[in-house]
Amino acid sequence: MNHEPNDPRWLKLAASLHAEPSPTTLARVRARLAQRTVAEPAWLRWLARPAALALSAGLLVVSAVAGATWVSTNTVRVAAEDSATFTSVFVGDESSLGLPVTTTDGVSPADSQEATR
Amino acid sequence: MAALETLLERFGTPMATLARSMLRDGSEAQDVVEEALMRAHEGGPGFRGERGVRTWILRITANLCRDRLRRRRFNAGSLDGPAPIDHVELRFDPVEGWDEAMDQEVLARRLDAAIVKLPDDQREAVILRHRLGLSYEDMSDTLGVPLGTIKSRLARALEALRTELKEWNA
Repeated sequence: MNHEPNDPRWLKLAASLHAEPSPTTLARVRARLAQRTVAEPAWLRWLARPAALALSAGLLVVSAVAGATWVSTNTVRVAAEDSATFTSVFVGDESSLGLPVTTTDGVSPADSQEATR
Repeated sequence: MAALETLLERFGTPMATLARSMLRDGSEAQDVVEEALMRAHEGGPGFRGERGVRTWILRITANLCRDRLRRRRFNAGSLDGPAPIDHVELRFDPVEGWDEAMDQEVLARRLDAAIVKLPDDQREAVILRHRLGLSYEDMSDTLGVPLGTIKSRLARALEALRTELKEWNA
């Protein structure tokens, strides 16, 4: 026993008391373990493990961030593509504002009107 | 996963001694020992060495005892005084080299009654150190507190015990 020189002598008697676990301990622990296995589904026990829970939470956060990044990147690209389409339609080279225009070779629509007069 | 038989065989006595000394209730202490064994069995100690497993399993037991004591206080506790050693099934084993003129068992019972009156943290420290024979380092591992805290708890406990058993100090 650990006894310092300046400890009172009677303190040694603290070591004179001990206890034994009940002889039925092993059987009772086994029964309780079996009962716990039946009572709790495997997935719940797995979920209760802190390490697994932390890992799952980490994966969830990483997935959420990756998903948000992907969505924002693709939204910008689609928007850019859409704006290019509108520009080409409304302010296109032919200045038609998207209206169907039939042209004759070498004559612009304005010229053809004048020629009609 | 640690084998239950091995854990019980090697650490059953210190676990039961700690639980019964702290809780002073045989059935509650037995329940704590069983719960601690289950947790140790499920947790799996891995490779810790003999000393590591002992402090680890005693830490589980000490934590369960603290939970029970806290719950007891929360529920207003028992109005009865602390149970004597027979009630909690603490067995008396004579200490070698004791003065034959003094009744060792009577003194041991009085010392135990004085230890029971200590605050929980001091009682826990005295039991681990002087009843189970843990080193300061093992106590620090078991209780999860620094060495200085362990030593000051023990010093305060010893002072209280000296006061309580002042007629023995002569």
